[in-house]
Amino acid sequence: MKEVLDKLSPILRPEFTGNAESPEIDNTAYSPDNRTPLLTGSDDNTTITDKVCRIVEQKPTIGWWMFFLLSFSVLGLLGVFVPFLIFWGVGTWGVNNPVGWGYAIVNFVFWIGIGHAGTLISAILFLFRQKWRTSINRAAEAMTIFAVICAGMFPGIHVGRAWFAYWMFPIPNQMELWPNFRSPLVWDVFAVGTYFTVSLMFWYMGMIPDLATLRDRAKHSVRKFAYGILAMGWTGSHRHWHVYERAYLLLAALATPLVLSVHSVVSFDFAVSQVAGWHSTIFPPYFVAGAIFSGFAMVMTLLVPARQFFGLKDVITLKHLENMNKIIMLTGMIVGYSYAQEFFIAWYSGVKVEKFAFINRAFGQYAWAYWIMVSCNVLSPQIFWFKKMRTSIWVMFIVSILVNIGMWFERFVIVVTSLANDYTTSAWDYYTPKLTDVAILLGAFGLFFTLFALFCRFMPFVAMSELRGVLAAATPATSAPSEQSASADTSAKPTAGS
Amino acid sequence: MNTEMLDTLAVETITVEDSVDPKPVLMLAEFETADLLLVAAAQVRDQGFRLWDCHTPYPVHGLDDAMGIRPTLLPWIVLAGGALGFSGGMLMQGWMNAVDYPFLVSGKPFWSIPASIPVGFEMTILFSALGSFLGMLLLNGLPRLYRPHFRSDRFRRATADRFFISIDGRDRRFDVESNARLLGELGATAVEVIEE
Amino acid sequence: MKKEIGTKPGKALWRSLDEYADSPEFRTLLEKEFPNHAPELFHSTSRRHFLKVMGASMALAGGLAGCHWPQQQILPHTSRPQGRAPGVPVTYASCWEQQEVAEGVLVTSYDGRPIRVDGNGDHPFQNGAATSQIQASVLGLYDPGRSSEPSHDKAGHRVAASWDEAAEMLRAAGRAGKVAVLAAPSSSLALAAMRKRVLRQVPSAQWYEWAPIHRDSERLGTEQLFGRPTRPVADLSRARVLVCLDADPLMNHPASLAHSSAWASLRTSADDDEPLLSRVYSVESTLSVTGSAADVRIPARTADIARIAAQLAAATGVPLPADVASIVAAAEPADQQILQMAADLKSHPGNCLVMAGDRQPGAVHALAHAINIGLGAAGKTLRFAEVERGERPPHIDDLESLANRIRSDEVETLLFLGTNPVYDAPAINESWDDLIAKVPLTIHVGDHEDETARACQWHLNGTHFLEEWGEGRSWDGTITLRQPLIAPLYDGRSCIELLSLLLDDKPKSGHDMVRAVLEPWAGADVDASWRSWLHDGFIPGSSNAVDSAPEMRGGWGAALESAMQAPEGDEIVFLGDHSLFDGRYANNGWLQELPDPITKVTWDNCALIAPSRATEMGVKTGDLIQLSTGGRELEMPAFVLPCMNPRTVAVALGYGRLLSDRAAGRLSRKPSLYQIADGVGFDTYQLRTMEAVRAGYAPVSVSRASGTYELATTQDHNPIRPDDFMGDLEFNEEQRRIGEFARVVETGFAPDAGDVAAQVQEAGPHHPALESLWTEHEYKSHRWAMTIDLNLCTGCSACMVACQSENNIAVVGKDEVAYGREMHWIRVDRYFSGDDIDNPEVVHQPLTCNQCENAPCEQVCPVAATVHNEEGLNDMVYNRCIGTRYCSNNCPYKVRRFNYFNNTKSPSATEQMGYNPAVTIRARGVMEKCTYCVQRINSSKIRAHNERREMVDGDVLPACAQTCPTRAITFGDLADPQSQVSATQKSHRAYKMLAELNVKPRTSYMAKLRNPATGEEG
Repeated sequence: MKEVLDKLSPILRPEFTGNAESPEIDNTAYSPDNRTPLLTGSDDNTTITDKVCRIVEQKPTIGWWMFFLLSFSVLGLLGVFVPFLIFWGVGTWGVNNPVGWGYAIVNFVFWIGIGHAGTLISAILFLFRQKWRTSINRAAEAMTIFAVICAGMFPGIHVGRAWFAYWMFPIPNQMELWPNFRSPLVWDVFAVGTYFTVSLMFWYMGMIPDLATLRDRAKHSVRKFAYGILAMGWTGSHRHWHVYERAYLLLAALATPLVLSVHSVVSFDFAVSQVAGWHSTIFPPYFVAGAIFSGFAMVMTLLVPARQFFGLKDVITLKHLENMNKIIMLTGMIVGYSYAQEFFIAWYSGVKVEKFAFINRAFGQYAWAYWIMVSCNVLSPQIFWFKKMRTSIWVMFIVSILVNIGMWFERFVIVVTSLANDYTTSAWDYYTPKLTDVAILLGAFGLFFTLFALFCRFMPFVAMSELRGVLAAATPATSAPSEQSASADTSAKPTAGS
Repeated sequence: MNTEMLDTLAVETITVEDSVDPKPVLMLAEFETADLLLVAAAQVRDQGFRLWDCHTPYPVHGLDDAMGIRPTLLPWIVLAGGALGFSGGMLMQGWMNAVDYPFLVSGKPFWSIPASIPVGFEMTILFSALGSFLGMLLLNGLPRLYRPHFRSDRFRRATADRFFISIDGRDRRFDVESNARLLGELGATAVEVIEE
Repeated sequence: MKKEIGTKPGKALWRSLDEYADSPEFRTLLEKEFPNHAPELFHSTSRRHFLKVMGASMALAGGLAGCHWPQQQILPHTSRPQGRAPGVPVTYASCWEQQEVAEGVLVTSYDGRPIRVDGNGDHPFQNGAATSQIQASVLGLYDPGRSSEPSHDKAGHRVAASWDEAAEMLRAAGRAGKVAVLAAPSSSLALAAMRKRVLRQVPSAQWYEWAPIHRDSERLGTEQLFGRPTRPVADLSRARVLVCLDADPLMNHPASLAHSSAWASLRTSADDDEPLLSRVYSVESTLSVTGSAADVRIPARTADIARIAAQLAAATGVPLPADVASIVAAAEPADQQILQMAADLKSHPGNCLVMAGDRQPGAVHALAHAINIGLGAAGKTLRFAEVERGERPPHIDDLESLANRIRSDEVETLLFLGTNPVYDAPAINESWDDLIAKVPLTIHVGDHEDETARACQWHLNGTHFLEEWGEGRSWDGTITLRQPLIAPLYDGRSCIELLSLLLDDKPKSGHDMVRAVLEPWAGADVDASWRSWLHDGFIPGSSNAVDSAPEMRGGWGAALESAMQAPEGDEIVFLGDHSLFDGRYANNGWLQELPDPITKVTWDNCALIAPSRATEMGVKTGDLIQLSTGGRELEMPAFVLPCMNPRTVAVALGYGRLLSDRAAGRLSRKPSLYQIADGVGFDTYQLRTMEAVRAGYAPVSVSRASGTYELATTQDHNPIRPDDFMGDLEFNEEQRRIGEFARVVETGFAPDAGDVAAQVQEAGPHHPALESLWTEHEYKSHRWAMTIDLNLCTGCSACMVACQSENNIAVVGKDEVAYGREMHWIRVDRYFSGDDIDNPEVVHQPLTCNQCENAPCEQVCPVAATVHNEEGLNDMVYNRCIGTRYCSNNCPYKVRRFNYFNNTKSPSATEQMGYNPAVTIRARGVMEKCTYCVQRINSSKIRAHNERREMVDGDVLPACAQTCPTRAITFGDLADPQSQVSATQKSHRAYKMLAELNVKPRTSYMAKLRNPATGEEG
């Protein structure tokens, strides 16, 4: 393993492209008297700007090309199997009579969950004034957008007549009939639609100043033009900054309840139904926690390699990673608690079918899936109790991947096991995926990583303007001006002069 | 000492080649640090300029006061958006399911509040978010792809690591000579005049 | 039904057709239509022309508009003959025959295309019900795999031939003589007449009969007992104690329909003022439908049942012929259950009956009837009818003498009339392929170019029963008429017409022959009686069943003794398949996909073994096991079936057909192929030796073979395995909550209503009072509802085919069924319960859309594709559905069915003719489900409206309710307090399945009553 990596490192690590490797510095030590810096290294506005912009401006590294081409070829699976699916019908999936929902809905919920980290980091951490978010929020938001794109694809293709899927939207159709607003699927349409729109605005608005930076640094006229359009003529005018900051704050304040609502609504797909194992009031908080959990894990999976490739170790520092690990551990335990709670309620309710639903989950025909889920989601994060593990790059990378797997299986367990053995025992059956299921599952990942690769290549990977703010805060700022503005005498001149 | 300083300060003029009798439309002054900018801004404000602005690579705290910017009315736009979203959402559901084409579903009433909450909520968020984003663009007059500022190469660093004060040529107190002197005294490392 | 026909304008049709064809107005009409052909239509009397005339006249008279005769469709309506209303279904009476027994049927014809076959309710021996096979026969008519033309071997090649050549060949053969006919036994008088003529006219002609599944042992037994073969006609409606010795009177019996309705009357009588419940004992080796409905099941080897019968006879102490009595006395003493059985029989003299199954040797039948007569059953629960050709030897002997005759080169021409010995007859020293090769001229007549057809030089395509004239005797001897509903699609010939080709220079028409043979029964006015017979479908009072039993005689003690000397060890028994019978329906998609009532296996047959035996062998369902008997070997998948006798292996016949010329082996099972029978299941006839046919069972050695095999079951996808945990869950009554769904109450002969009601409620889950958060919708017009009486359901699955035929339900094929994608709107759940896995209790529960008032499926549909209508029906709007399948997930009954593929892609022209035009064909990606036959509801509404009257109870009858042999399903309007369904839903046995979810189902169930022998009452 190690030596293989060493061999690969000249290809993977882009030092030779001039993107100097920055040193790993442990800034995770915490003592009240001296706050360790958020950014290690001695960056100032200039160097930070260079560092971040170079990612976009330099020639793409071989590592990037490999990553991009690999993702793109996997994305090709979608191009093959989605038309195949739509031509032949959903019978090419493994779904059957008791199990009407299979991989498609599992993937939908999985990706929506992933899509929660970005906005959460941007919005909630912003409201809580968590400065450390600034290094990671841009990438996280981008990831959110792409995850929601992947998720949004599935409800469209999972229906039997995909060409009529638009009937779920409240637009008058030839039958003058409107959607049924009692259906959680319609709620989904609104929740996911809103979430995508808001996240997109949030992401784009945050990028405007950085796009302006790129515009102003651009040499090539095409780049100049493109970034010029995107930057919308931003000049860094403080009168703009003033409105901009207020708008950003409001968006954050709106996105926070939105984040919580979206996965609650998704959980209604199950909670509102009456399938044993779905019909549960604990679902909304449980799903939201799970979403944050999986989302952070995915951010981890993306950032750990990214900070290596792009030499951002002193921007996305160990402290950032550690903080995220802490959140992963916390949400992981919330999820674990929910699993336990479900069993307790099932037992406490005294309803036979409920009890059976959960016994069957843990010991029935799908026990294997259940225990994969538990070991990945509940057990693996516990390793983060140890600081050494919490701050070890490899450990956190592996755990993050385990958590992704575990969370996918959580959705599988919820969707499939509940349906496969529900009320009418004569209808019990076993669900086995077909090739199309697997291909489309992989294809979605291809889509996700392709989009992310393009993002790294063409968009500001880190929120530079916010970082500058952080730097400014770090360097002791004078409190003079406000006083002076209060007393408008010329005694200020010498200070200004000196 | 101020005069020496002024002499050392080069006032550079950028003109559009093909313009008949070019007039100065904008004066840009570059500052090294945010602190200098804060001081300068306060002075410029006190000089009674109206059509002027600061340009910073990141929102500099205290600059609002230093420039004397009044609170924006964006929050009201957002509130309006939210109200529109919520009422619109609720009315839409009621009209579609209970008035225009009622259908009997699971023996339930044609329209009831609980089932309408999720969509109503999402519509609220959607419209207020649109309000805040579009409102921001509206109030800032964005997008506006051309500005005189972009003629200055120096100004490119306004989005990276330099701080600028710009004074619009239409300001009634605009005067190349005196303004340049003032800005120079305030510690500008460079002053540019843009003519069109 | 009767009323309808009476008022049908098409009544004119019952008039004799050729008479109609001669009427002047028809001449003019016809000449208008076919100026050139009209003249010779009348001058030629060849059958083909007759058919043209008949087709024309029927069309004009309200019969077939251009199903197969396009010219008919351009009939100008200005000259529309009276009685022809396009688009209005017309019903005709006819008959269907199997096992020498005719069943009266009513055929619904739509613009000349038969689309449904139901039972004939007016028939004296029937109640309007129909078996799955009868109803599926209409699909057989449109089977695109039918043979469509005569063909013969020419220079080593199979070439098509014309009927004229065929007729030439037949006449020549007839003159040459030495003709041997191997015919399928039939109760047709016309055929019998033709048989006589053949034997008389054709020099040294021989007539043999063969049917792989027959009731020869019954003939033998009655012959031993009474001196001549007699047909015992049972009346189960009086049999308070019924003992079945390896018999399945409710399913595998020619009179199963009559038996079922009679048996049911003694189960419903439990609700009468003086409640009375029958008790059914079933002593059998394999779980039969009757056994699954029995109150007491005693698993025993088929071979041992003779001994048990003797013990029973001894215990009842009925008078027996001396030699028999001595043998019976010698039998070892009976055990508790047998004594109990005997005690019950004795305590119900005259109201009891013992029936022996067709697998049992003659002696057992003789003994059974001796007991019956001894207990005074004669004239009460048992009557006696004449059998056709009492003198004929058992089929197997017939077969043997034919083989010998062939070997001795005494057969010049061998004619197979609807028989298929190459496939279904045991080899007689040499295979039938070889035997056939020995004969100079071999001719096969049948509706498929089957195994025998390919072995013969000539194949002549026969007719489907809906295409031919004929008649037959029903089980009680009533003569039942058959009239064609459609001109032969492929211009085939019925048996009697074919024999007429052989005998007559001027072949007679089937119509003439049938009419001629029935004239003796006619009154003064032959036409009048002929017309009324055709209208009713039978000849009233033609039954030849009598009350008094013939004189008993002995002389069969030795036979009984040898029957009781059963060898130890494992036995194999051969069952007529519940769907395919002897294999003749193998090409019928509906029957192939119909789950077996007991195993729920589709598209396959398998070796049934007992759970204890399975564990002992380390075999589970789907594992291949090797069966070897009589020197033959066959590898088959095992199916672990509770209630099986551990020493018995049971296999169904009728599978492993090869209808197409393609090489043998497993071919595609996709229904789109024409020969869907090919390669489905395993040809168990290979194992069925002559000895096995004679004895009804054969010693077998069973061993585990390597490999497994996928069985497509519609239930219990996780097979029952006591050893592993999930299997345990599967079988565990507590976990499966069977007791809540299908409630069973154990009572005595006289159940107490209050007690039963209490137990029924007790069986349900305990839940708080059910109330809604909102004021619920109130239904002001009709409130359709259904009640299903579990006490009457035998699981025969006729309702499933009725539904399939009525609602154009697609056949999806084995692979899709294995995936759990069968499309049946109504299914019959079969539950085992009880601790003894080798002999648990069985409950059948038909389950279809419960039309919940608070339907959970509706609120989750994003596009409102399933909503409620004002009559409380849960409507499914196909063209609105986008196929999220959310409704199916949220349906607690899991009765919704989804079109995962385009299941009705490009049906052939003939297949299309079979569709019911009143029901939409569903597209791909659309959900569908039971509609309570909403098309029937609406048409009855329209009818009532046209007749300016209110709807009355019974106007609407869904297909399932109409066809249920035991009338277990009642349907009607809850808004009408007098309606039958209102009564049944108020019954003390009534309950609603999964009511605790407060979905308010419109369908109620009535608890099953079981009357087990407790040993308390005498």
